[in-house]
Amino acid sequence: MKHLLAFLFILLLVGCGPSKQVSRISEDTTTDLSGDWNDTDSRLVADEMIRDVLGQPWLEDYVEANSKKPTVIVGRVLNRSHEHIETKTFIKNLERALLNSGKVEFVASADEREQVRTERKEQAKHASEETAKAPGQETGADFMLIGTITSIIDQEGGQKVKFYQTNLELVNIETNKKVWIGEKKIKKMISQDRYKL
Amino acid sequence: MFSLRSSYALLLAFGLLACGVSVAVYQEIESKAYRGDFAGAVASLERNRKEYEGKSEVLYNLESGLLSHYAEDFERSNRHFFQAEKRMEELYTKSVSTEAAALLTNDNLLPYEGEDFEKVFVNLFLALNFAEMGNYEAALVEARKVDVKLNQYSRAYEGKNAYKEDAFIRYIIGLLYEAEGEINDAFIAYRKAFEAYREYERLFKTVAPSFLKNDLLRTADALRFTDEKEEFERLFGRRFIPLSQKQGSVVVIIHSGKGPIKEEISLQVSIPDTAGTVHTFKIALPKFKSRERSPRRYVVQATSTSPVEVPTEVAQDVTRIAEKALDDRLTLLYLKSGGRALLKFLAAEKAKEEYKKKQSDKAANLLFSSLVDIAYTASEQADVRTWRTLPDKIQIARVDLPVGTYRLAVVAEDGRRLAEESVTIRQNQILFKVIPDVN
Repeated sequence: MKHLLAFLFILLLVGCGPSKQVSRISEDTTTDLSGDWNDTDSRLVADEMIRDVLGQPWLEDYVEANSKKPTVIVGRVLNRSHEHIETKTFIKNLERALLNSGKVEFVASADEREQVRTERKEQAKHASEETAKAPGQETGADFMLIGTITSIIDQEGGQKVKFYQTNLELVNIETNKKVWIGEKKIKKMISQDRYKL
Repeated sequence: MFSLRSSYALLLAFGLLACGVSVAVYQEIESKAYRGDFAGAVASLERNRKEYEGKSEVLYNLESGLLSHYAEDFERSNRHFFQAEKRMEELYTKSVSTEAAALLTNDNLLPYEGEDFEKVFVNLFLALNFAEMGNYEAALVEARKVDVKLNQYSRAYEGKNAYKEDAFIRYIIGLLYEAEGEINDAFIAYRKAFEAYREYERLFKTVAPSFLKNDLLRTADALRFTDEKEEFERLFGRRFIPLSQKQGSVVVIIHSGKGPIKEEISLQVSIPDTAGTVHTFKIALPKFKSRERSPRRYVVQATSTSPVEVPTEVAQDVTRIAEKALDDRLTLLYLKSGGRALLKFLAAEKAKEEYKKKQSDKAANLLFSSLVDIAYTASEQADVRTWRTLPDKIQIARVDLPVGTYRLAVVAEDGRRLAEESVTIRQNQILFKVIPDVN
């Protein structure tokens, strides 16, 4: 009887324990849960693109010809895949790496610009004359970064192959010339069991 | 009197397993939905969530997703549809123990996974949600998923299934690309839609909407695809006249009429053997039953100075697709039901035999025999669970209008005014407006 009570007590304790466990992992750990596009894919694409874009001649060519750093703006990265992909994540990664390299300058994107312009209008109305920023002083970008993410899915029963291709292009805004095209492919195999117990 | 041998227990269990969502719950939800009180119907569904828990979770999310779509609560609708999609995918993995139990009793024991066409419709409604929210990029993501699923099902049926292509979603894809300004992609999607509608005409008696024909001519002309344009002109028997004005469009999509429900059809065969014992086989199968007769008629009115009236056309016959898709699956089901009848028959025979060994009384024997047959027959029940809030048909009208502000109204043939609102048409912009009329 005593044993039984003790056993029940243990059961009770176990039953009350938290069912959710959290452990912190390093941000560059590969975590594949569903097989969908995740932070690892986003990071892989950004890393590859950064390595590529900074190593290409367009950068030196531009500095040589204009004796200044190029100014870049991020345009639209179209999601043409089978998943809802947050393209902003790797675009931000890319932007940060480029900016921190000190070789490129960035201007705010279309959405961000709207915010800044609103602020400038506010300043014109409410800020003191010495601190208010004047309009018409924005820096025009020299290059625009645009791209697409496409995917191909092949599925048969519980086997699924996902193929993602990310293409980024840097376009000279004045001449429409493409100065750089980056590409990163990711392929995944996902399998799901037909039976469980 | 009866010893509880395992075989008896099994037979007893047969009779106890009829379960699912009660009719009263359906009635409560549907009476609200058919009055047009979609938010109320969602609330009723939420209150009765327990009934759906476990085996009918997918259904709960399908009903809730669609009712929220009708109620124009797109965020909520998306949440439920994503949940349904995830669960449906997980259910690809079958539980051996549950499957075995279902094999001995009936499919109501299995978690409801959804018919193939229902799985496709999840993405179709998600696409419409995103389209109406103005997020065309996300709508296209959902539309692309339809392709993957349909390909997968065709392969599973070795191409013998009817619902291989969805012409309606192809048409929506075209409209979305055009809304995004990608005319080349739009033209390709329109052309694929037109080809798919030829199959639709043969299989579901749904012809290509006249709007699609206009879209084909216009995009072919814009792309300077002269050969294609002339080919379509010949095919449609009319010439394309380019517009002189700056125009935009509103695409009105009407979910019209009550969708089909499943009912049980059963076959029963009794065969007496040489000893005089009667053996009964029953096979129960689900079958879709239409709840509508002819398609309803609507006119879209857009009024600024003088009114423009455009009648809607049927673009997707949900009932016919459901019937065909189930017919395709039925071939597989027949096999399963046949196998189940045999298994249960063997269990029943074993029970009768064992009882006979212990009982010499012929009357008691006969009585027991009948009881076993009743229990066994009662356990054979068709799985008639289905997505009940689906519309009977999806109708469409594309109204091209000169830039400006309009009073938009949809009027049913019996004079009911379904929707009335003000819309602003901008150049080359396409607005999507989804209107439910399922009552």
